Amino acid sequence: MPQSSDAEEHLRIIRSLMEKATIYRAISAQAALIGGVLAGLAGGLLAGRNDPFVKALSSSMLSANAEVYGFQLKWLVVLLLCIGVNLFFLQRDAKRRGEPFVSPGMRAALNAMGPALFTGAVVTSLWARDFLPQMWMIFYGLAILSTGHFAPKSLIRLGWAFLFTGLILAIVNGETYMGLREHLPDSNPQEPPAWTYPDTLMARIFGGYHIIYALRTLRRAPATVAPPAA
Amino acid sequence: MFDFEKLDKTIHEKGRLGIMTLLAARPTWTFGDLKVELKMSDGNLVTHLRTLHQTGYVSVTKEILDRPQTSYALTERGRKAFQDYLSVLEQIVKTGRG
Repeated sequence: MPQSSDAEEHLRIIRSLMEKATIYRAISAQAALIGGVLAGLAGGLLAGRNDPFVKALSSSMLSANAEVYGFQLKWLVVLLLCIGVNLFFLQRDAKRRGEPFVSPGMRAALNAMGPALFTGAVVTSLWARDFLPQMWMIFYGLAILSTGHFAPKSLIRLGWAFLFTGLILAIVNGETYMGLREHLPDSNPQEPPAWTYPDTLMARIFGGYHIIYALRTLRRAPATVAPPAA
Repeated sequence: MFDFEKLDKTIHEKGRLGIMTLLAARPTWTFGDLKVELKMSDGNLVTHLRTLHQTGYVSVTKEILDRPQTSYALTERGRKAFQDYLSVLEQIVKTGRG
């Protein structure tokens, strides 16, 4: 015969499962993987003297300004591509779960992330280019952590990783500690280098962290297979 | 004294209670998602789902997307049974505390 404690135990199970079921992953693992690769390409291959955005702007403004605006424009394009890819995968996942695309989870995530992302966008115009990646990491990390009440643990870890890395790199000059000048030598000293410190940070940190998050999440992803014949 | 016979025995089993709870929280669940969330073996999950399906609490949809996929959802009868079950549990707790 069920006792009160037995009923309480069952209610506890129900509450715990309900909470699990309402977890919302605002950054799809597949989108993170694609975004990570895009960041790696944009920051690694399309940087310095190979940056098409800086080149395009150089003809119409001072080279110092072209470097700043070209950098911002390039990463804005990468951001928009990543948002597009993320929305595509979120929509696909929502369809698979039989939920509307703009689900209560998505609304909660947007509400939670909004203030930190908006602040990050505003301060982009205030800081010098060499300091932007650190600020983006900090505000992006804060935005992810804002979803902590309903985000999976892997996403919360990603938020902390961005926040701590951004803070550390805001205090410590990573260019010296990463040994970039030794590892990324200039093939032609007469020309500007084919890399910049901010681009390298974006490629290594934004690209690298997203790829790690994606691979860890995808490895644990459930298989979408039919049940075995009983 | 509370009448414990009011408790739905089909739902009261912990494995099936887990399935019913997840299905009550989200419209549809694939077999793979249920398996991961409930950490059940294939055989166990299939058995419980079959019981719930035969009772009329759970509907099954089989479709071919990228690959064959089976999804499960609560029927109206299942949702009503789950709500009734919750009410009974709450009454048991209240009776126990009172």
